[in-house]
Amino acid sequence: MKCNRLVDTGRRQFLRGGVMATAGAAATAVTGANEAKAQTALARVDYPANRLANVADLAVNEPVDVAYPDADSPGVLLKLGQAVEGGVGPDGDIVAFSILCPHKGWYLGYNTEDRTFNCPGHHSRFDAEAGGQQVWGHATNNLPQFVLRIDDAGDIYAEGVDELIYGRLSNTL
Amino acid sequence: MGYKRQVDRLPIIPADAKEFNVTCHYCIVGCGYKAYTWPMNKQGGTAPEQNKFGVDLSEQQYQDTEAWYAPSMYNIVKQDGRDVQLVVKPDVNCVVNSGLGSIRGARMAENRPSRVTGTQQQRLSDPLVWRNGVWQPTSWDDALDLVARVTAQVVTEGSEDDLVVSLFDHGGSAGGYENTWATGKLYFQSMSIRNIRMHNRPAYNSEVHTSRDMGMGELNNSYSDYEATDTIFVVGANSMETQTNLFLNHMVPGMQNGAKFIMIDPRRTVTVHSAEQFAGKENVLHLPINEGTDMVVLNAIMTHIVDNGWVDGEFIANSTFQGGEAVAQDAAHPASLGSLDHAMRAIRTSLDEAAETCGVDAADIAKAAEWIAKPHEDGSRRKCASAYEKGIIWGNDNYRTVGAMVNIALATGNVGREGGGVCRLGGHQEGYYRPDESRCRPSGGICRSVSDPWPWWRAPRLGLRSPQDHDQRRRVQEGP
Repeated sequence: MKCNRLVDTGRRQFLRGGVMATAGAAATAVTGANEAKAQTALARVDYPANRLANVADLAVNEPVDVAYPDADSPGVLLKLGQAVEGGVGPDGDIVAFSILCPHKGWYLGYNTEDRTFNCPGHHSRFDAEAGGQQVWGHATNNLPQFVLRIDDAGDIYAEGVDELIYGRLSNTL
Repeated sequence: MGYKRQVDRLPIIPADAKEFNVTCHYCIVGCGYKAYTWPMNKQGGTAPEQNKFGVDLSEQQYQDTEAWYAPSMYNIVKQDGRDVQLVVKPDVNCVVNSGLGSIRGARMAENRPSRVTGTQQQRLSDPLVWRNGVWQPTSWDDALDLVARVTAQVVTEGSEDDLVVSLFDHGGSAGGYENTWATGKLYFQSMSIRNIRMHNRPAYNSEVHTSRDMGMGELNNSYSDYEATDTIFVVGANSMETQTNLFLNHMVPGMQNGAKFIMIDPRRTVTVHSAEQFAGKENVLHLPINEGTDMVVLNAIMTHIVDNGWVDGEFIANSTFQGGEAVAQDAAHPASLGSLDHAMRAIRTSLDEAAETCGVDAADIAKAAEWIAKPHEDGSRRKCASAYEKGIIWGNDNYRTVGAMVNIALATGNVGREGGGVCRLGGHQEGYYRPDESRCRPSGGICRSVSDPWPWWRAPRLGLRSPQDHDQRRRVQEGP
């Protein structure tokens, strides 16, 4: 049972290319001693800073579809109405998460009543108010949360992810 | 705030990584996993020819993909004396779990001992001996010598019967054969000791010896029977949480194929809720009985089935004991065994009696009996796959309660047939293999060991003459 929304997500790749960290790519430059010298590689993924929305676009408890760090990684931006850990904005209540279930990659639905993300496939649940902590389920990590920053104009930027996103062995592709 | 691993990428399994089949060692379901190992100084790449999956890992992989693994599925472990990288991930081609991982099995890699990553450092790698008031590490030679000397002294200064052995039985994580065979060889064959018990059991026998006394081992169907049945009947188990992939990969497809789901359990567990989500509330019946009243409700269901003639007469005539009592009640048999008529004289329980005792509606008990046994409108028999676990096993009336469960399966002909079975749901991957120990045990009078699971010579209450083993779960373990 594949999710139809996969088609809509598309394969736009306009974010690709400039943000890729070099992970172990060997350089071919030859030194004087005739030995291959490894290229300096970054130890962590280098995340882009992408504008997701403006504070004015958000209404309490109404998730907005976003994608981060690229168009193939769907997520939601959410204003919870009360300050939570990791929340940003004037009320400290704006958070964003990947919505691919870290168990098997199904699209999570948002339950506005208890503010959890719920998997239709195998019923895992994640708490939007507790950093995506798994309430119950089969995933072996909590829901990846996007690190947010808000500028003076109220624009919300994502600048990082705190867990490995389902379906990619590097959070940036 | 939820704990975050802060892992933003994982090493890629190279195309030439070693590959192993693994059977998850946690629960009895026995899900298939693949283990991959490769040297520390190597790694795969995103190009299809550079990784084990042969796909472009610079692209997002989608739902249910084989080509992704969580941080919990990676570790650095010793293999052949060297540190290697390890990934243990669900096997999409295993019919047991079809690529699903549970919160247990999906953590097998990070639950390996590793001096590099610091996981599972509490696990013993060398023997400890209590000397001079502290646990002191010692060599295997020293530890085994000590065990041998103490054992010999007990036998020579006392008698062989002074030796009491308590041994483990669960060989998960590749330990089964080596350990169970060695202890059996020593204590059963070489020493022929008299007093022995294993694991959680007061006697050296099955946890559900009623089932065996009645003629069938406790694992008597295939998982596919749950997919091909009319009703799934579960008592005292919370399968969504504790046999996760049996539930998700076999019971759920059964419900999606139209099976009804009955749960008898004092608790409204997540299994009940999940079944309602998958099958619809109208196809799920939960009987939240008072604790410890399972046998009563089961006997009421049995009585209702028999009184309505929903039994499988041909099966009963051909495959169950005829002619009254076969085995009398005694210290080793908390209930007598015999024919259907013999059983009914003892267990007859009305719906109202059960409703009063169990705290559930009589109508719901009747409904359960209907869902289990009432023939289809065209007259064809209903198929019912029954399953039970700790809720009735770990009680003081284990013998009779498990027997009440098996009675229903026998009366309805749901043994050795497609869509049937009456099985345990719990335990571990025991990997059990021991020389036979067939002398009578003083503690329980159960005269056959668990390695001889078909004591059909013992006349059952409603026993099969020729039970068949449909246990198709055991996979050969070839773990790292």
